[in-house]
Formats: sequence, C-alpha cells, structure tokens
Amino acid sequence: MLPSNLLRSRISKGVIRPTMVPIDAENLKLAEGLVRTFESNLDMKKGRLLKKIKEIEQEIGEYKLVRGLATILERRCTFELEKPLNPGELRLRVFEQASNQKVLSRDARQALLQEVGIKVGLSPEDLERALWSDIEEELILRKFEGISPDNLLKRYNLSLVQTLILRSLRLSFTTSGNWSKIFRLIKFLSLIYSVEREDGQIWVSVDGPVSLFKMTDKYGSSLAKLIPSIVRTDSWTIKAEVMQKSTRKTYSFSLESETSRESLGGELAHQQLEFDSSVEADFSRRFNSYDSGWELKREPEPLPTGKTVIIPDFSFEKHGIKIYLEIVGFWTPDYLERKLEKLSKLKDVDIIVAVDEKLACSRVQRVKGQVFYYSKTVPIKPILDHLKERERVALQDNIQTLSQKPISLHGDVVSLNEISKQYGVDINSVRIVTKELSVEGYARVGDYFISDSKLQELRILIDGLVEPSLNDAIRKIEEIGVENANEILEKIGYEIVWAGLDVNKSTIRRISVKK
Amino acid sequence: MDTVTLSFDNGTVIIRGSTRVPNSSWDDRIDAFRAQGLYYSEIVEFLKKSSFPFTDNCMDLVPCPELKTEVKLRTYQKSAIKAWANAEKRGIIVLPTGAGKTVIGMKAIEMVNHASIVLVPTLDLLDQWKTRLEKDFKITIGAYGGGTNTLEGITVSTYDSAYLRAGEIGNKFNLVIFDEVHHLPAEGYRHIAEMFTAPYRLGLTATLEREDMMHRELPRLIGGVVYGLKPSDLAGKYLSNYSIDRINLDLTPTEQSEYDSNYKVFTNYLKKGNVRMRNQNDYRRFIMRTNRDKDARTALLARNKASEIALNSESKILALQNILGSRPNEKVIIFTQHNQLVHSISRRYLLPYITYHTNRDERREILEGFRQGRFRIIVTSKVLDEGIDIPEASLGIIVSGTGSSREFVQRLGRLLRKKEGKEAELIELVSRATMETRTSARRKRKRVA
Repeated sequence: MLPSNLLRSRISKGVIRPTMVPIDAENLKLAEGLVRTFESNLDMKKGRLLKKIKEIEQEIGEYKLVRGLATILERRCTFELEKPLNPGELRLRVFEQASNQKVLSRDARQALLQEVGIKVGLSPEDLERALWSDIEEELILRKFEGISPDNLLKRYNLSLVQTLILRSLRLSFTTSGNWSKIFRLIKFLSLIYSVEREDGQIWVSVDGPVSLFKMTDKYGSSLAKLIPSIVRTDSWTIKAEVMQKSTRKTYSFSLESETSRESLGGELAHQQLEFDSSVEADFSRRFNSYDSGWELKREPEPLPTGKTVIIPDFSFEKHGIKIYLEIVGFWTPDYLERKLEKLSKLKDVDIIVAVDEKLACSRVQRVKGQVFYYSKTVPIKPILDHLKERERVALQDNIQTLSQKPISLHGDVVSLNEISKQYGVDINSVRIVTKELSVEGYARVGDYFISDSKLQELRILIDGLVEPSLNDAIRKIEEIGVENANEILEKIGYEIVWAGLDVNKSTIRRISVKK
Repeated sequence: MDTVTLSFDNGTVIIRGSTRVPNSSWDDRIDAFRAQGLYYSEIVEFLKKSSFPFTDNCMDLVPCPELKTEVKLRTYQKSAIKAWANAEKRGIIVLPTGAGKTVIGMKAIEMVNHASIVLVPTLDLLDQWKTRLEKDFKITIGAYGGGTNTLEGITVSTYDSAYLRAGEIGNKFNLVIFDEVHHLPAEGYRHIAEMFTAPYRLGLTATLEREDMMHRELPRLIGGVVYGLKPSDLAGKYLSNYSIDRINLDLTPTEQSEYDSNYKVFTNYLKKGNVRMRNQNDYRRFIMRTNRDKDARTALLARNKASEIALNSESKILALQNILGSRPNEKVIIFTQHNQLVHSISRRYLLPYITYHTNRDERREILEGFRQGRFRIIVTSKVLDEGIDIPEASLGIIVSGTGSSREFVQRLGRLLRKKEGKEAELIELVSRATMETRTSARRKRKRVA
C-alpha cells in the first residue's frame, strides 16, 4: 500500500478508477531507471538517493508516480548508520557539556567538540559527523533487494488498487479459487461476510460489524489486505464502494481479471496449495495413489449454509457425479459446534463427513450426508466403497432412465455424447446401455452410431481412391465428423498396411466385402 | 419469552432473543440485533427496567486489584471530580494545562475502582501517565502503543492503538479516560468512543473548541462538560502568570529578494488563473490542482520555498542567539514547527532536540534531563504540543508556527507550570512583511487567556 497522498485515481460519472501504469516501454524505462538509481547508491547516504529521486521526479513530471515507485523500492532497502557508534549517546554527552557552557560562538562550539572528542577518542570532525549520523539523510544504504522493472510496475499497480480500497466502505468479490485462504483472512481480520449465488457464481460481500450503523472506512485497511489473495486466482471480479474523505461522497469501483490481469499479474503466480492439517495432506496423497478414476480436487468451492459458507476440504468428480468430503478434526467444542451447525444447514449437496472418532457424539447425527469416523488417519477404503456405490447407483439410475425411453436416432452420425446430453445422463452410462443395443439401419463404431447408408457412401468414396494412403482415408472419414477411422475402415472391409513407423507412408488394402 | 443474550463482537453488542432494544438495528448478516458498544449501558438499563430476563456476556473486564492512591486534591479539582460523579460518571472536565488533569484522572480511576483505560494522543503522554500511575497506584500499568502491547487493570493507550484495537479490547474496561479529548471527534477516533462498552467515561482537555466544530459530537460520545475553568481563573494562585512579547524581524536583504521572487511566482499564478484563496476549501482545491497542473505545482513549490526562507531566516537565528546570550540562567524551550530548523538550531548551539523521529528512550532522557537541570535549553518541533509536564520552563521562544489557536494556547500552557515568584515569558520571533505575520496575527486573535 502507498501513502494516501500518492494515490492516483480518476473519477468520472460516479466511478473511481485507479490510474494503473501500463506495462509499456516508456514506463519500463522509468522503472528501470529508478531501480538503477537505488542500485547505484549502495553504500552512499540516503540524502543523496532522495535527491536523485527528486531529480527524476522533476524530469518526469509525474511526481506521484515516481514517488510511488520509489516508495515501493525504499521498502526493499536496508539503511544503516555510517559507523557503529551510538549517536544518541554521543549527542547527549555533547549537549550536557554544552548546557554548562555558553556555546554561542563558533570558537566555543569548536572547543567543546574538541573537549568531548578527546574523552570519547574522536577528532572534532569525526565527532561532529557521528553526532548526526542517525538523521534520515545521513543513513547509509547498505542493502537493496532488487526487482525487475516489470515486477516493480505490477507491484505498483497492486499497491495502487490497495490504496484505493483503503477508503472503501465495503467490498464484494468473486473468484475462481483460493477460497479457504480468503475466508480465513476475512475471519482473521474480524470482518463480516455474506454470500449470494448469482448465475452459478458465489459472490462474497465483506464489511465489518460497525458498518451496520454508519458509512465507515474503518475496515478499509483490512479490506485492502484481501486484495492480493483475490487477484492471485485465475479469474476474479472485485467491486467496492469508495469514499472520498474530504467530500464524503462515494464512488463505485470495479476491477476484473479479464482486463487487469496483465497490469497486476505475472509475478503473482499460483501459490502452492496449502493444507489445513497433515490429516488432509496425508489423505490427498493416499487417495491419489489408488488410481480410482475419481478426480480429487482440494477446496473446490464454497457451499452456502444459510448465512455463512462451508468450504469442503475435497471434492471427488467422475462421470458428472460430484461428491464433497469434509474432514472434521479434533478442535475446540466451539469449533465443532459451529461446524456441525453449518453442516446441518447444507441443502442438496452430496457430502461425506469424516469425523474424528474422539468427537463421536449424538450431535453429529444432525449432519446431513454420509458420516464416517476415523482415528488418526482418514481411511480410503470406506470412502472408495462409498464412491463406488454412488457410481453404481448413478449408473443404475441412468440405465433405468435410458431404458424407459427407447433411443431414437436422427441423422447419419450420432455421437454418444449427444445422447448423453439429450437424456441428461453421463456418457459412461450411455456406453454401457448401448453396448449391446442394435438399432435398425445403424452400426455402432466407437462412440458413434453411423447410418448404414453413410457407411456405404464412405466405402464407395474410399473404393474410388487410387493407391489409397492411410492419410487420405482418415481425411475422408474425419470429413463426416467421426474420429475412429481405424474402426470404420475395418467395418467397411479395409485393413491398414503399416509402412514401418511412418504413418504418412502407410496405405490401406481391401480384405473382403462385408455385407 | 426467550431470554435475551448480550455479547460483544468487535466493538458492537449483539442482542439475541426476541426483544428489540433501543439504539439497535437488525443485522441481516447474522440474524440478530446489533448495537454500537457505546450504547451498552443504556441497553442494560432498558432491560433491567423492563424486567426482561437477560444473560449478559458482554463485558470481559481485565482482572484488577483494589485501586487506591494517596493523591490530595486542590479545591477546584475536588469540585470537578464531584461534578463528574454526579453526572453518572460521564462527562468532560475542562481545565487549563498545568491545573492537574492527571490527578483528576487518577481520582476517577480510584472512584470506579475497576479496570480502566487512559487514552492519550502521543507517546510522550503515554510514558508520562504510565510513570505517574505506576508511582501512585503501585501496580503494573499496561500500555498499548509505541511497540508495547500489555493489558493490565489500568492500561494507557495511544488513540491510534485504541482505534486499531477497539474491537478487541472494547469490552475490557469499566472506565475510559480520554486525555486531550478534543482529539476524539475526528472521524476515525470517534470510533473508539463508539466501540468501547465502558459505562463510565471521562474527557479531559484544556481547550474544547475545535475549529471544525466537531466537539458537538462529544456529549453523545462521552457526556457534556461537567466542569470548566479558564487559565485566568487559576492564574496567580495555582498557575504562574505569563507575558507575551513579539519581536518583528526583517529578513536579510538577500533573503528578502529571494522571498519576494518566490512569493511572486505563487501570487502570479493565483492572478493568472483567477484562483482565490479565501478559506481552507480554496486551499484544498488548489492543492488538488497541483496533482495534475504543472504550473500549480510550481506555484506551490515556490510558496513553500518562500515560507521556508522566512522560517529559517538568519535574522531570526541571530535574534535567538541574542536572547540566549542575555538569559544565561533561565530554562528555555525553543519551539519551531519544522524539523529542519530544529536540526540547524541544535547543531549550531549544540542543544538537545526532540522531533517526531526522536526515539522514545532518547526523548525520555532529554525530558528527564531537562527536568533535572542537566539540560538548560531544549529545541523541539510539534511533539511537545500537548500535556507533557515540563516544570520550571520559564522562557519559551517560538521561532515558527502554523496559526491554529489551539496549538498556540497549548504551547503557552507548557510554560505555565507554577514556580514560586516566577512569571513565565513567551517570546515570538516573526519575520516582518511575510505571510507569516498574518499567521501570527490570526493566532493572537483567538487567544483564550
């Protein structure tokens, strides 16, 4: 964040926008120049550095931009005293001595410095220098943590957004991930959130307890702290209400990943997934070693539970079935109570709740969903069994659905995918149901039904090719929108003559005529 | 009817149960009523009067030993504390600097005899209160601010720390003392009074009037003025009398011409752009303009340069030197507003200085040294503005100033520590024919005493 007097923003028609710097040649040059100024002032006085920055400021004209960039760079600096003396102590000695004598002339002053200098073993000049060496301008730049010009500009833009949010009354956002960290942060910062589902997106609005009574930017600095965690995700939108202090007018602010990823992103690449506890990390590792076909996802998305949300630890996905897993570890009774309360409010959600057996009690019965107990580690087997059972039931349901409505096909080529969409069942069920299914006038090839007439047409086409190469044949087949060329060739009575490993030289040959 | 339950949540009171209580609002985010901490005692009062059954989990007082001091009060101090106690231990006491506000605060703590917090605007005052409270109550005193965070039965905190932590510690005290209470109505600080649930509140100040009239908020936040005295009510008997001298000084010829040319850049800009400077708002608008308008920025820089020349004028330094030379035995505080000038005076005459940057230990040592007479003269920028006890400083010299009436009165107040047979003296060094003269005139007009 930047000091508020360095905020650059534009207001028009009730909307406030931070004036982010484009990452272009001109600004990169400015950033590079500033970084170099810092680097070239290593082991020199801060006063000199500040003067150089002022020069750049006057040259560029945009003093707020230059000062903002310099502020960020200054935070990467370590300034130290020139000599490891204690100027404060020396000063008090000199002052005390001076207090007993009148030091109104230059001579008296020099004599006094000489006198004290002898006592502390310094020449008057060295003493004089040491006396003021802790004043800001006299400090020495000892270390500077470098940064690329590109990253400096991005860091600047992020700081600018945060500085603007400092004055915000409330903030709402949606994001594609990092939920659990963000919610933890919200809680840690004593903010209050409410969630709303809009077009399948979860929107979180955040403000604080006092916001109920008055328009206040008291929570601005806390809200600003949420920004980095939000913009680190793939896709996000932030909206806020920002107040101008002097006029107490409010302006709306919004920012989305689509348009500002380039100005903010890059360096802020994805964070490592962190696990809440070793129980979870351990579970993830063991589950993935089973190769069950279920896709395990960590912290999938928040599920609304009345006024609050719960972010399940994991989700399992396969063939369109989505099942959540929440691991309830041993924590405080308060935590357990809140968690169970939330879990009991979930609606229309398929969830497995793994509960530490130390917590086994009647209260757990309120929880909706499948409850397992575990001790120490969450066992994989019962969960896999449960998933398998869900898969089987889902399959059964689908098969039932499909078999209740006879499948009718329209067109020359019908993919199983289309059927699965048409009947609202997953493709795997369609495969199973249609495996033994024979439809009058159609042949089943791979994941497609192809009409006999179309197959006939293809055969004539390929028959007509002179010295047909495999590539020619594949092209013809793909033209009708089917991928399984090999199977079709076989179906219409061709075999592939492989020319070594080179597909381009392979040809096809007729084996027999099948009717 | 279900029982009403009160609990504390980050500076607010959550009221669960079917009863609506005064000053509360329905909070849809949590499905309960919520009220500002400020109204806690009113809510409890209401519930008691209506004989609703209720459970009160709101307060979480810091454990506190019996609080007792040997402090003796002067007559007017007794009247002040009595007036406050009669007003249900809420309200503001206005007394001139040097009239012993700390003592009154300690008496209030003794009266409440439970967890109390004292809020102060500066770290100097924090140190000062803490030392005094420790000495008189003979217990460990907690402190929030300047890097320390300890919670005790009596705790002293800066306004800034209290603002940041009100949500966390707002329900831990029965009494809040707002020292230099005129700071409180500022937009941010107001939250402190609103977020603390303490039923008892005491405001202390020498000057209640704020130029922005925000003090009208105080009766709601703390209570009205229950007792007030002006410096003239106490001068002579309890406070030393004082006199003010003003010395007008010409700039050196070089300074004058440099001043003129710079000031002209500024006035020319105003004329050319038809910009008027009638009040604070005009000035603010001008400052806003300097963000995008290069000419405006040049004008501002030139104006700053001019004022810098006037403030740092060599003739002032020489005048200062003359005064110091002619008063070899007096304890002197030199005030200037700008750190740069503090440093150059300190360097030239080897005088201890205190600025915002001076660290706490060094500051303490300098003040202590001044008190004990180890240092006879100190030079400082604004930091000593408020409430710091510097006894026996008989001469004050203002080398520059900003022109706020409060600042002026309080700086004066610093010198008003009573010393037998002594009349405090204040000398103001002003550059003639510069904009500074006007600043000084503005200050004088508003003087209280």
